Amino acid sequence: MLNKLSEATGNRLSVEELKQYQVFTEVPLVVNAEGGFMKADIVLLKASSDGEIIDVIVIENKLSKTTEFTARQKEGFYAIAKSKDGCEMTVHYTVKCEGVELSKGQTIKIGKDKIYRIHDHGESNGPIEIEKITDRIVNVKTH
Amino acid sequence: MLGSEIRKMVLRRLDAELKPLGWKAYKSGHNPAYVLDTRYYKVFFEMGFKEGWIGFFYLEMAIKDVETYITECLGPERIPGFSLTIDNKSIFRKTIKDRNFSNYNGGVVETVDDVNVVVEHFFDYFFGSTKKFVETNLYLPNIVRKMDEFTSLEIIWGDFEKGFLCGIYDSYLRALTISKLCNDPLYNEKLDYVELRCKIYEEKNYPHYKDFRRDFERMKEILPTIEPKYSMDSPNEEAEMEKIRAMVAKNFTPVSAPTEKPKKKAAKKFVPTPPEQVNQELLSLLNPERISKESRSLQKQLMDFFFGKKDNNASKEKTENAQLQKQTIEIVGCYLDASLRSHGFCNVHRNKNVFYYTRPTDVGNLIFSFTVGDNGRLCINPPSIRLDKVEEWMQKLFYPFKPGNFGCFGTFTLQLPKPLDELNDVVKASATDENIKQLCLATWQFIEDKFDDFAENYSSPQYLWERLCAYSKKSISWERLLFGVTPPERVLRGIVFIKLCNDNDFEDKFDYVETIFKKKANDFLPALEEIKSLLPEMKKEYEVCS
Repeated sequence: MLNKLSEATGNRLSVEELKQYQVFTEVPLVVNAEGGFMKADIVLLKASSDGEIIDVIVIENKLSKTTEFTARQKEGFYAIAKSKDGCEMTVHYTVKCEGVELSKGQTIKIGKDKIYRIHDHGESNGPIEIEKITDRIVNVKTH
Repeated sequence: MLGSEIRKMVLRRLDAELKPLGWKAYKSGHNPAYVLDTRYYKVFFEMGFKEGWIGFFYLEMAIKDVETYITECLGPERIPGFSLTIDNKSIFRKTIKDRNFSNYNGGVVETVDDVNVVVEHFFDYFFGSTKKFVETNLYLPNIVRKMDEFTSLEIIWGDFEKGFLCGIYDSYLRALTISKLCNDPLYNEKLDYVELRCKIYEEKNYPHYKDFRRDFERMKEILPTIEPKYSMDSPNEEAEMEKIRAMVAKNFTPVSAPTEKPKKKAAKKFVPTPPEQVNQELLSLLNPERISKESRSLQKQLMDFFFGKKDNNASKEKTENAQLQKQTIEIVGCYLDASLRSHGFCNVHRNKNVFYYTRPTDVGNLIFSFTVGDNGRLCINPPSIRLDKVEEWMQKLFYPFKPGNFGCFGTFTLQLPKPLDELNDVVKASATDENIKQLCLATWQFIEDKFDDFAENYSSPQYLWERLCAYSKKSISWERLLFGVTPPERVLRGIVFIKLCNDNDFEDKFDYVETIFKKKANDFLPALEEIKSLLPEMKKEYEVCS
């Protein structure tokens, strides 16, 4: 999967770099500006050696390419996808992964080029496809 | 086990143990939290629950000697990097965190015993390691030593993955405050180090550090005013620690032995209520017009007049039936009325042959109902909760075999235990007094055993929603949980409820139901279409957290 993700980033992030990210699942996020709530299936998070969160990648896990986003996901991803300088979101309640936490109230910024959709056609061994979520994809599905 | 069931059990035990020690519980958020607020320090921890899982998060402590100066620097409301406003209840600035507390996980929790094992391990950790953590760090020179240790390992004190000081850039302000309070000989080195870090962040332009320079400059004005309270090489360190231990012990010594399991409720023995002491409200429903003596005699006169003169046989049969119904109601009254009332089911109603007790809740009525046929045959119905908002929307839909809008019908039902179902069948086959009494006795036991939990669980939309979701995961049909004359009607109820919960996966669930209806319940597709058209109007009514 990391190979595919690396390809999806246009090889800007190598597999080795991606391995340095913390993986959180089912992260509850609130769009700061609009207050909408969404739950991100997978959040990859990289902190600098200073401890600052410097990169956030959100991956939505869908059964197939045609599976629609939920209404909340549409709102959330649309807010990110249309943002110029990244979208500020707040962690709605504390989640953790391998001893590291994203605390309730913590703010993270998600860039519009950092949201992806993954699907495996419902087959655990099936081919994995990853594509970038754009405002067009979300918008088409919204209206 | 469902997350809500685990949550209830764990909180009950934590409440029993921690509240007497001065801890306050904050349970309204997604993750319940416990806070201890003392004169010198404040401790916070929170936990999360999911189906089969308990998770604890970092334990955090605010040391008031330190946070006073941080407040002077940052003001009373904001926490850098967080979009939370301090309320000084469960939201406040923290000084230091115990990451190991978070590593303590319950593993897979499937049974009541599993929950008890987790809670007991938790108490072991809490009254041992957590107590030690609080004691150690209340003596601030211990924190300075840890800071120096981290410096030598080149790990930042507030590091996201490994750090122990709380805060984003404010962790540096805490470090300097603590160093100053301890008369740390390495204070100036630490000040220089923070100055260096601040410059690095200015260059990197990290969003969460944008106010670092401004706040650091303000802190530099405050730091010289801080009077040292400790010394890094105090000869009295052990005596100081003793004082701290005594202070902490007050709030960290278990009232009961932590391994003590909750006691089982003593079995209650059934004693039928003597007929003369049974509340007459139920019986009066049999012939409401016979409540007053006058009307009773008038009724008798009319009965005599009509039945006596017109049709003696029909009259006789009716009188016999009424008598049988009355006998059954009297038995139900003796066996169940007092028990139901003691569980808060105090309102009694009747709809045709269905008699029902209700208990109001925030979201609707809890219902216990039974049917008494004309021949006195009793049938105990599954208890239920009628969610007012769901039923309001259900009334707007049209579908085959739609029942009337009667208060005796609930939204979610609790399945009757198998022995009760079997006794219902026995009475159906032979409605003797003896069989009816046996059915009532089993029902009494069911009420005594289950109604406390039934009332608590079924009044909670969170619980009901989790049950529905759990059923979906295990491919168990929702129908078993919901009321409806036909299976598709039950599914419609489920979909309406889920919409009113604002479930994030509503669309997926709706699509799934649509697919099933297309295959198996075409007659109900128009009702599903109606729901679709009503969706924009269906606002969130129930607060649930996934």
